[in-house]
Amino acid sequence: MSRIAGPMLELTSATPFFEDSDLPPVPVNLRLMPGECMVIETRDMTRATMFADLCSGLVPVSSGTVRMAGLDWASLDSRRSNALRGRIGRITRRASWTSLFGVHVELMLRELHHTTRSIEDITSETLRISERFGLPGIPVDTARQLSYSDLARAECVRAFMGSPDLLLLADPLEGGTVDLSTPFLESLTEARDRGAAALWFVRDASVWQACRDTINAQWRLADDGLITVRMR
Amino acid sequence: MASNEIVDPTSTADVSLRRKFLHVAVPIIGVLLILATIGGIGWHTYQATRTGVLKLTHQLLVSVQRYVVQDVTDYLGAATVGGVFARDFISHAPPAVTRNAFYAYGASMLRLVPQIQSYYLGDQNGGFLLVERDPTGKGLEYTELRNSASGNTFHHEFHDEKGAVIRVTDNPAANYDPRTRSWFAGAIKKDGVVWSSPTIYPTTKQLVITASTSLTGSDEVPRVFAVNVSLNLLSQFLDGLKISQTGNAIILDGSGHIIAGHNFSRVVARSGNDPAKMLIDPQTQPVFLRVYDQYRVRGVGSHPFRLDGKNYIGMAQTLPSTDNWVLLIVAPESDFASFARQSGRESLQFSAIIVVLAILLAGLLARQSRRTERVSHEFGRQKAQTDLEAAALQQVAVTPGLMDVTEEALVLTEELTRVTGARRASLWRMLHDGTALICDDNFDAKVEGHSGGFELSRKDMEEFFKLVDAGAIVTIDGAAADPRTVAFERFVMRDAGTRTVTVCPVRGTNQVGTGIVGVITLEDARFAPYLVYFLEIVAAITAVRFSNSTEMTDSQKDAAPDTSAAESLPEPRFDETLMQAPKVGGEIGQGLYPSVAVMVIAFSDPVMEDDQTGSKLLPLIDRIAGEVQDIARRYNLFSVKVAGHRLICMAGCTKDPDPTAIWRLAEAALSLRETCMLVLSTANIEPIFTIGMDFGPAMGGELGGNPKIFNLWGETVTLAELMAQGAPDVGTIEVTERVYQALRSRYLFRSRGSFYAPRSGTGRVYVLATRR
Repeated sequence: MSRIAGPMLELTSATPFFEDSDLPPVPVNLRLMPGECMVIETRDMTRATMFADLCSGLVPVSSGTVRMAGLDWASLDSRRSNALRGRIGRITRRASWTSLFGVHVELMLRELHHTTRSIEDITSETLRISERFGLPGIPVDTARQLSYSDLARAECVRAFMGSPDLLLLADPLEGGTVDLSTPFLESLTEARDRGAAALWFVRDASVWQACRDTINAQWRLADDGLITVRMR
Repeated sequence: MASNEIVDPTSTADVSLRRKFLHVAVPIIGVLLILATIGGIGWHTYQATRTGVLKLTHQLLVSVQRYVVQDVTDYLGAATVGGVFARDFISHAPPAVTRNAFYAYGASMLRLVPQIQSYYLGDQNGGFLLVERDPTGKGLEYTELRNSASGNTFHHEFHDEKGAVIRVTDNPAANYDPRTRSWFAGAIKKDGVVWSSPTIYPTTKQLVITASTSLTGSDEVPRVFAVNVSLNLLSQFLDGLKISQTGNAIILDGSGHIIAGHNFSRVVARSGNDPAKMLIDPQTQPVFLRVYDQYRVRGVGSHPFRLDGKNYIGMAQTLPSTDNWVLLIVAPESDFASFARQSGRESLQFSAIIVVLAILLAGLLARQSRRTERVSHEFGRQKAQTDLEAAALQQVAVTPGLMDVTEEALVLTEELTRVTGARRASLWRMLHDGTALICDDNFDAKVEGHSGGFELSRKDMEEFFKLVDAGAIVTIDGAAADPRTVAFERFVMRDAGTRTVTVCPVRGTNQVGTGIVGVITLEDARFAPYLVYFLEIVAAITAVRFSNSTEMTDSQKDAAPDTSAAESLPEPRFDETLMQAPKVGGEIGQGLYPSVAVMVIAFSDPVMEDDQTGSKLLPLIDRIAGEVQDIARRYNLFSVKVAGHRLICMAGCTKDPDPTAIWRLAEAALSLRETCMLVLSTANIEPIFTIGMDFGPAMGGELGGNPKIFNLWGETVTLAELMAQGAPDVGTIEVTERVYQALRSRYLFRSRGSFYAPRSGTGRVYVLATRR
């Protein structure tokens, strides 16, 4: 995948509607280049989820723009905006498993829907990432039948499937019963080397300190909006 | 993923199509609308004009009709009005002068009214008077029927123009009796004028019609006064009537016989002088037949009709004071509306000129739009290029240690290939004496691998060095054919199969002074003038980096392997678990060793754990072990240990850093790989082993009582094991960035990318390919 020239994610004075998002209605400016990883600390992971929605074009803005890969979400029709969302890998604290299908379908659904890749190809990639995250294979049970640990692993697999351009990651390392740090950071590094940009939402700084050298910026999402934090 | 996407969100093809449609289709549609509008206006104008003209034509024809009716009425007035006058004149004359009164009146009328041919006067007693024109002269002929004993005779008196008698003749009248004649019998008992059928007048051979009226004189004798009117003059009148360019008129009697009209002589000739046969000929007079038919059905009035694709205006009007005579007038509509068509044609011609101009303008507009679009695209492309360069520079700017010669600056060559689209980009550093160029970094975009350490000597490629010394950015197509770059192509480019080289000398300052301190080469780059700016920026960054290169050069010289020092090292120690009893060397220092080189060889399960073939493999393993011992002795490795499926070799366990340790271990790794390949392939076994290497500090020491076992641990050992486990393919030697840094000038490496390793964070991993 060739890197795009401009920022992968750019919020320019983007002011979300408080009623729709519970996000503070203050202008947000953020610029994330390809290959960059930005950590956003927030105590409220629900707010992080809404902020990720804002970055995904799911939360309308009263003013300003939210652009991904140079494309303004507000100017895209639904067909193109859905396709663009197909380039986002997300880990979210919001319940995001339908349990209508086996997890294997939900893992591969994005690639099946947005791309023309063969099922064999997608299956092969799913298996590879699943094994990387410590799953013995691709889970086929429904999500509610999986353990919390395996579900966390599956969240990671789904996020890194299909070489996403933008990663919006609610920290999967925090409070887990298994240590996913190695495969997670491997996958994150691999994605960044490929040109993907990442927003990593964490509750506190202890999680990412091990790889702080590779983090490009640290921000804090609070009641007064998104503020930058000087990295020590 | 983008190439597999069903919907490419960045695609703007639909916008482009819409834009093309607006640029091209709209002007064309505009022209078509203009055409349609002009056509519609023209058609409407033509129709309005035509309607007006037809209305005017109708009024005109009505006027003509009135005029003709009036003229015909006047023409026949000599018979009708004259007959009434004569009846009154004669009936009141005394019987003695009745004859003279008739002659006087008749002569007078004949002289004044040219269409009158003759006058008759017959009475109930058989008397008959006739006055007519002299067929042989310009005078008159008076005829009287006289009774005598010898029989009835006609007494003729011929008078000249002045009324003088020229001659008198008599001729037998045979049994002529006026009372038996139709003109007498039909009128004697009727009031008013009675018309007889047209007949051929014997003396003049002209078609005449007779109007008779009865009268009773003062002697109470019933008489009939008749007048013959020539119809030839009426035909001449109608022939000369200019209704329109080709319009005509005819008069028919009540039974459809032609009385007068256009080309009447032909009608007479066609009928053989038989008035009964003077009917409308469907072959030669179809339009009159159509009007006559319409008249018979619809009565008098205007009857427009279409015949043989041509529009006509037909009119029918009965003539007063006649025996149901009807006047038919026919004129082609085109005679009146032709000017409207002509006007329409001229309007169309003018419209065509306007349309041509409109098409030209539309074409110019479309062309201008497309040109504007192309310029916009060019601006967009240039902006994208600028963004690309800005992003590349930003990427360069955020790279840590860019100006530190001890750090890698791989980003420079990577971004150069990305921005210029080059297959390979290389940074060459001029050695201080200017006699050689050493490759600081070479990035191949196709295989995404870095290499370096090549050295180019001035004496081998004098022309290329002159090109660099010139200091200008030069692009050479077909480097193999250019004498300036032929040697460079042979040494550097041929392996990659590239053809074009762009040479960008790096001007800066080093220990010698200010001048050319290096050169950037781009192979198969899509060079463009706007890239000069970017190249100069990268060249400036490179110059700053090269200005700090003194230490690098010196350290490299110091790092050259000192084989003599290696030869002085003690014999290797082999762990008793596989090889032989430990023999502790005097070089061992307990605790931390600052620069230990560790190599881990991991054999995969199928080779070593097959129970059935285990016994067969044992001699093979023994042979490999022997080879390992030989190699270890050859390169004076410090220790060789076996742990399960892994073979651990180490060198440099000294308190002071051993610069030869990593080199010796690398040589041992290459030899070991070669040996294992050979041995395994000889035994027809897949070479399923991988090798990992790292170089750095480690903890070590002898552990336990008797026997004491030497062991080494620490991050270096862990990373070496990780490299061996994560090697991309069998038979490959995967090394850490530290090994690459130490050996890159003497060995060829391929970059595998950046990876996260526990506790050590993100680092690049390389595959040791071979010696340079």
